Amino acid sequence: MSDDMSAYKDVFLSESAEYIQSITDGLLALESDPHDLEPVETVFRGAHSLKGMSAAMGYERTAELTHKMESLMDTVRQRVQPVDSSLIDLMLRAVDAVKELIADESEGGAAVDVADVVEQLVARASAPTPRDPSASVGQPAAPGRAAGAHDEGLAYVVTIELAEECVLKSVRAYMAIKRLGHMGTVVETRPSAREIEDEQFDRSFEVVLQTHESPEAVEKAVGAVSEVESVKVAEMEVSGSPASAEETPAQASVRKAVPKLAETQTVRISIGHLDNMVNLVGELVIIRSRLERIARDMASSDLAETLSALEQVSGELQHEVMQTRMVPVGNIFNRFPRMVRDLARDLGKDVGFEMQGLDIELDRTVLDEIGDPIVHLLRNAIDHGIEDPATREASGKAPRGCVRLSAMRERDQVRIVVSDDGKGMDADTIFSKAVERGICTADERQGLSESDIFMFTCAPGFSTAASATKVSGRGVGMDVVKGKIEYLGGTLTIRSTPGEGTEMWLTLPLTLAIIQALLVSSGEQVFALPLSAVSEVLDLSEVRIKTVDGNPVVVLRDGAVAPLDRLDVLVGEPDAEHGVPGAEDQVVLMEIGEDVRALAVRELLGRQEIVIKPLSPLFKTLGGLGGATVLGDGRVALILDPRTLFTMGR
Amino acid sequence: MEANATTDRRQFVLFRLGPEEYGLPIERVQSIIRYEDPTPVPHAPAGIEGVINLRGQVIPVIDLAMRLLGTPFTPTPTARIIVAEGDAGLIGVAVDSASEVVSIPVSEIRPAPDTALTAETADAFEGVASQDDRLVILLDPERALPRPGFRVPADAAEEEADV
Repeated sequence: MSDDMSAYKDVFLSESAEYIQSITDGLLALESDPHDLEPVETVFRGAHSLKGMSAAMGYERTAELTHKMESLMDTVRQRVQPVDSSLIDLMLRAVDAVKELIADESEGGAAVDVADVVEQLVARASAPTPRDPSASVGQPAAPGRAAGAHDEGLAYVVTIELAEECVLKSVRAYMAIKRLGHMGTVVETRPSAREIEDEQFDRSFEVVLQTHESPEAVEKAVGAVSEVESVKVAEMEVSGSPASAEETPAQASVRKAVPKLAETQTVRISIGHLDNMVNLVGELVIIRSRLERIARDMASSDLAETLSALEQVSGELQHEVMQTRMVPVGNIFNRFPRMVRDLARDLGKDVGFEMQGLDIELDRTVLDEIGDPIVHLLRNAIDHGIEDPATREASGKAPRGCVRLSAMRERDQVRIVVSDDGKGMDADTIFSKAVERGICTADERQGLSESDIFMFTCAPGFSTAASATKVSGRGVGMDVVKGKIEYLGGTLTIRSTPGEGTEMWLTLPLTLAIIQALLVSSGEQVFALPLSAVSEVLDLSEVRIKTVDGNPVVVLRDGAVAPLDRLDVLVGEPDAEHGVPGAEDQVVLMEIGEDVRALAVRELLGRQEIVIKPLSPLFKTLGGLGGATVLGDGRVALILDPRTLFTMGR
Repeated sequence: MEANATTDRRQFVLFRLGPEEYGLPIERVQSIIRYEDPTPVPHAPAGIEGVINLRGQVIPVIDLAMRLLGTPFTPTPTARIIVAEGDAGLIGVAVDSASEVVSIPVSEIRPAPDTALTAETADAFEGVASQDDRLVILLDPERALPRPGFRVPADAAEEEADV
């Protein structure tokens, strides 16, 4: 039986997480605009739903706490209590307590003590706080909404008897109680919900329900649960005064809009299965390209035709499998507003937080890994970027700083930008600190761009903070952030203007495993070049080659100049000759960040989908390589990493 | 070193490299495959021949001849790659030939004579043992096989990758 209940528990846990999130969102919205009382409803309904759900699961302490939250929000709803930061703080603390309680109670524990929060909620709900005049102007409390007793509807005792042959009694009981929960508030059950869960009842049990529905409707709803033999609904005198508001018809219809279980047809699949599928599809792609080779050698048109059909099907299959792994970034971003708020508060800063592009999707694995780096960047932005309100005003800025987190899609990459309008970074300060720490030498300054210098902040052991604060100085630094991003096949770029702010760009691959690549030959060896970095392929006859300081450059059609390197020189082939490439070479133009670089290769072998295989850690210290792949003939080709390719072997 | 009081014999995979015969503890050997030319890796540290495709996995192949004998490995028709488990995952070891698995009593494993050792090879040997009338040099896999970051200290990304 516990298996069945644990299935309900999973549903409960995910549903309750959604409500907790919507309560948090509501509270933060309320905090940013206390005059718009619409979120009050969201928070109130969220607490109400949580109360019902947790009572049905027998999580009594959770039900108690959420009931108190609901009561407090009800006084806000009736404009008895004003919205102010102490209210938001208290409610957010209560939300944290709910999370802890649910975690505790769902594991059968009793360790978490929330008496303190409950007490404060009760105290606040009954505190004779003066009304917020601005909130009540022109909006007197609606008649009939005045705090009165018994306005949550009538209380009924519902006696439910299950059929004798009923096997899964606790499940049927749960369904009946859940149905009742949708109609009103389940005040209590006899025996207790825990005992019902453990099937410690004979055939019948009682539920005390507060509802506006008619007894007939209640009877009908419960009667519709299979294996329920009889339902009796009797009115009950409510003692005490549950603090709540009468529901007008309009509110009742709003209430129906409370999100229930997602109705889209979805299944949960373990990430392990998805990984296996991705690997298998990867193998399929390799086998397909092997077959293509064989077909070419055999020159069989039948085979070629069948192969092109296979190509189409396997392409679609691959796309679908990849899609199953895609998750909107909003899934991890949604926890940031709360974090930013708390942090800003702790640091005494006034920070507005904006998020964009929440629906942009990323591979599950990538998404799971970037949460912590983003947290770190947000912390940095608030701690080191945004100045305190007084400093901001003194420098002619709005006292409230702005931190922005945005995601956008760019070809087969996703860019995530953390930006702030704070004090920015000063290249000279960073450079001298880097020299001090022995990361570079003073005479290297000439050859370094500003963004090169900013990247020193990602060197191990570098910290610009004059003193380690509570937030920074946890031993997790920018070097870890950069390492993580690069491990995921992405890049980190820093842009900053002193006095105006800083932008951290994380560019991440959309998916991890399979990429489009251009296969090129250096003369002796085949390499794969990620197509995402290739902007154009030119014949040598189409471009003019000049030298600047003896180094070859390509003059492009629009007159721009791009440094030209030879692949055979970069990879250190023994008979590679430095200088201008041979006439039969091809030129691949690549965009690396904002730079355009030209690469001369001996031969273009075509475009192909490749499966990225990791290189042994033995090669981790080498630059220029992003992994390896297995070609159609079974041989290994190395994948060039455009970002480090041009400094390979140096 | 893996030996304890209850095991008095240990099994080694024997292989030939130049004039010498070597042994690797069998528990470190995953498979032995026919030699194929590895794909060279640009700017790889000396002693690494390149990478091969082992059933879809890309593994490095090291040149022990370079390290132990000071001459680069030259493949012969009998050449094999011994796939061993090293600290850095699977590693291929290019050898002239490999065929035999022998069981050697622990008591017969003797320290390699000092005179036979150069600084280059010293820590790769666990000891020597006589097998019939041959002398077999037993390798310490921890030391004979390269480890990650043997050039530069391991970086953060690498530690993440091991998790």
